[in-house]
Amino acid sequence: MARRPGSAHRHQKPSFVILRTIFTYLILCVGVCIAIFPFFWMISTSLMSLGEAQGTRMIPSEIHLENYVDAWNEADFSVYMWNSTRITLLTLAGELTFSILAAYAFARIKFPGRDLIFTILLSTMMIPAMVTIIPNFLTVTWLGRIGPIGWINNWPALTIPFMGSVFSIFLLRQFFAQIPDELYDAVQMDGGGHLRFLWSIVLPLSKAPLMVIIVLSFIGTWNALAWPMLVTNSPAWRPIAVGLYSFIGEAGQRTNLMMAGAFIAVIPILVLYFFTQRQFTESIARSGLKG
Amino acid sequence: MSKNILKVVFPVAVAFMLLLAACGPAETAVPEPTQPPEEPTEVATEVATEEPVPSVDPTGQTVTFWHVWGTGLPNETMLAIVDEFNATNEWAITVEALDQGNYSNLEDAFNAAVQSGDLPDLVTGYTNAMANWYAVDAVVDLTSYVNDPFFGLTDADWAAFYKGAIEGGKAPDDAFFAFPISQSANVIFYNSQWAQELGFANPPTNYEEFRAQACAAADANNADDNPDNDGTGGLVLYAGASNVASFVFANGGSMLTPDRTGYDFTDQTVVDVAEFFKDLWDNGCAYPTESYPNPEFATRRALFTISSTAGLPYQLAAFEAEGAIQDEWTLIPFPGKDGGQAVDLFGQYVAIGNTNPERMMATWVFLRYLTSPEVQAQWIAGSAYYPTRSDTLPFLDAYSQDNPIWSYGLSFLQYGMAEPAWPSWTSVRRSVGDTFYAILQGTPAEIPALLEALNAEAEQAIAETQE
Repeated sequence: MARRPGSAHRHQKPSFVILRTIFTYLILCVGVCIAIFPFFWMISTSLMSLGEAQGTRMIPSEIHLENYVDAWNEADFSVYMWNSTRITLLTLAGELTFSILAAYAFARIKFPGRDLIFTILLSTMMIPAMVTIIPNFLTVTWLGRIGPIGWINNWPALTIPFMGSVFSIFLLRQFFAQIPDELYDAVQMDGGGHLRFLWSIVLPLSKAPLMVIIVLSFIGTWNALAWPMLVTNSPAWRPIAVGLYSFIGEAGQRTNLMMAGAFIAVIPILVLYFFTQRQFTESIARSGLKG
Repeated sequence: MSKNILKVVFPVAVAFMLLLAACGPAETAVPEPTQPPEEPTEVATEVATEEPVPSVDPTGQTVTFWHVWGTGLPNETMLAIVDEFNATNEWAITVEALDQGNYSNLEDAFNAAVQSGDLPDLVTGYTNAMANWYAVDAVVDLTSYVNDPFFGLTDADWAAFYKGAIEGGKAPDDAFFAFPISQSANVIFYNSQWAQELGFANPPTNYEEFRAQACAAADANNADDNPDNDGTGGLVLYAGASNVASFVFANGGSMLTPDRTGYDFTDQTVVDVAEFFKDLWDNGCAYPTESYPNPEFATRRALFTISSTAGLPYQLAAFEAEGAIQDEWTLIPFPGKDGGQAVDLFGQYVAIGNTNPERMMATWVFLRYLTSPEVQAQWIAGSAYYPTRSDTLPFLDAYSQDNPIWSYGLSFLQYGMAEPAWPSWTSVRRSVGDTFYAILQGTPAEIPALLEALNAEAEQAIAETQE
């Protein structure tokens, strides 16, 4: 006789269920502690004196809230924060625009060589980013020389190379391809074409993957360090991660100020995640992506 | 259908372009031209009186200065010096000081600038990195600027510079590509109070005395009733190239062949250091830490630590932390095996980017100002470095009185030697660190073979940089 789903659970002894629940929560608590510990350490260290921050203390003996003010002022965080904001917004706008259009073309428009081009595009994901950093630098330098505006030390070098994201195109393409053809037929009957279908039907149905792209792209751009260090040499367009670096000196580092700065830098990411958490986890669950 | 497309594409395109335009080309990297001064400059006056005339006119140039002092008092001081220069220099030269992060970041940025061709006018950095830049013509030989009849240094100026600091900026062929604006030194921090309690009245002057004190401190920590400090107490040893070089210099060595055309790590002065490190390590009188050993030194977990004098503020902060033991401590030079002493000089050198004659001369004018005695004293007081010229010292009397440990360190500059300013030193210093790490992990019998292998690696590095 086949068991009904859940029947085994109902027939277990209460003490076993309680034990299992306790064990499950214990494991989860350990996981939470491991996940939270770096965050706790960051906040705790940000409130210490420099002397304490150099040691192994976990809790500050005295709270130094002024570290936040010092970090903000010493590393020009007001400039860097503004820079990070506009770099991130530009990159996001460009990435969404180009990724949506490219993904739609790969998913729903038939053209010669479509699959081959998509395969070649996907294969570029296998190349580590650091390998391409020098060729990319030479490219943006050259583009700056031939173009109407300089790229180095300016927004184009910081944003345009990241507006074409293969990962975003891939993610959206997979999602767009699942949308039934009948919906497109209906739009066509109303006199609409691809762009109207994309704007009126596809995008409203794709909020979850779009949210994933927004969150991941935001985090990636906000935390970028190596590339901005290479293509900027003045504070005019440097992002916040570069500001954090300034607390590392020749013969030591001011860990307390660096952690205060790190906490300030992470706040926008936390706020964004707080507001997009539902769509983000929903999309991850749907697409089976893992971090 | 085309109307429908336009309805969607147009607003998206307009919105996107507006966003881009908001960050428009107003802030490109192109430096704004500086207006030449309206007043006649001294150039005209000098011509009229048949005094030396400037071979190049630096008037109105903008100088970009890439440095590594981005926060704190050093940053404030450097910006104040630059502001003062901009406000007062008679050539209407404008200096723009731009922080580039740490030395490694700055090297990456400069290497990128070499590729792009958009070089800064003045750049700080390690001399071995500058040697590489000089090799590819990215920075220039300063000899003609130093000797310039109009803008150059006077004989008195030149005589005031410490010879060691100047020599540290020269290539083996005497090309003078790096100018020292200040200097620091790799020294030993020594807990004199604890040493006295252990029965040692004076700092060690040779290996035997050093070993005795380090091992006594280690034994004391092992013997006390605190199990947490077992295995600590002696020397915190990071066997990196600068620390190895410091001990080699104290032995009278230089890590170079007698004709100074290559490296020689099989010289007895290096072998002695390797054996000394190995002995301390194997006997528990030296141990490693994961980070800067400031907390260990402030809590009697290390009688000796090795640090740049630039690390003094961090060590002082460690003594202010709760749990620190308020011992008396001081700086000492590295002892040689049989009584020599030395410190490894770390200069804060700058090089002039190979741009154009007017900009390069303007850069030299600022560099001459930056290293003039009064201005250098201002820089020293803000950075805790040491001066590179003797006539700066009279301007530092008050600072010296307020900072006795810094003041004591001044006396070590006479023992100072600099690491090779060779292009190959960038990779060789990494090999030195790897080799000495292997020595600590291996057996004493392996030392000769490991140093032979280091010589071979160094030869290879020289060959690669000469290709």
